[in-house]
Amino acid sequence: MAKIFLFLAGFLSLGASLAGLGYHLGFLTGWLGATGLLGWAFYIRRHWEQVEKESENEPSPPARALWVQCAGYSLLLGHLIAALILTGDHLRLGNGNMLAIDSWIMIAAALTTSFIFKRDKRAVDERDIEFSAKGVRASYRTLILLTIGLSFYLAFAPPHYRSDLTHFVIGNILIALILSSYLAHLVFRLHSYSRDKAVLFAEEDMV
Amino acid sequence: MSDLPIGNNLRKRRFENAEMTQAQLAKRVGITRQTIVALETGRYAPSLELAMKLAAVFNCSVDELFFWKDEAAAIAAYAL
Repeated sequence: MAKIFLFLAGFLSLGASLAGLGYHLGFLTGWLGATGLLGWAFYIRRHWEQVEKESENEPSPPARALWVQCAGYSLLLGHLIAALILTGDHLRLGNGNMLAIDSWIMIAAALTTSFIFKRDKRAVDERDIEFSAKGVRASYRTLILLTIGLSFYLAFAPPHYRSDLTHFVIGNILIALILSSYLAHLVFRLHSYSRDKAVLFAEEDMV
Repeated sequence: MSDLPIGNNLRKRRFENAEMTQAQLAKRVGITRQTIVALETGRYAPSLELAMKLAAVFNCSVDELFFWKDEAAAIAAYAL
């Protein structure tokens, strides 16, 4: 789990750093994020193909797709959170508008990477049914908790804390909550794969 | 080891069939190699469809391929 959280934290920080850089320097850093994400996706695909040839220790195809989705969505979430903190309601104006364009560029890159790792529908990993169900449960719980938290904040926070929360900002916060819950889904599924692999290695060590 | 109550003879059957690899078997039934690994190490019990596909590959019945690890306990628990 620690490896997954570190991975997640790395891409969240990268997304936030790109937003900060773009906001302060005034140029579209989304291209950097998009190029980095695509470059990493191509690299990791080659790496896993190499591992498959050499040691047959590569992640299962659905797990590979999950790692790549996790990278893309955490990059987007990090960028969105930083953009909201930096610009608030001005996400549509000046440098804020550039951050919005950056988001769309990185969304396009994340979608492209998912095509690079498009799963072969003929090869099914039956374990994924169980793992996915766990992920969906985690995702629903995360979304419910975050939505309750936001609702309480909107209802009970002192007025001066809520003054910047326009409908536009709340809309973007809701998008961030949805992204967070989807990331919880990905993390729990990846964790199930990792745990299954750890059990296998533990058994091999015993033999 | 796994606490699944169902065992299987997949590995044995593969070796009896010209030492078929896990990847070859996986490709034949349309699943990932990792699923075969999970099955052989007893960490996963397959769907009925997959069990029947695997039995078809080795030209045997499902219960020749999959079995209760403790048949007496299973009969005691589930038999009418």
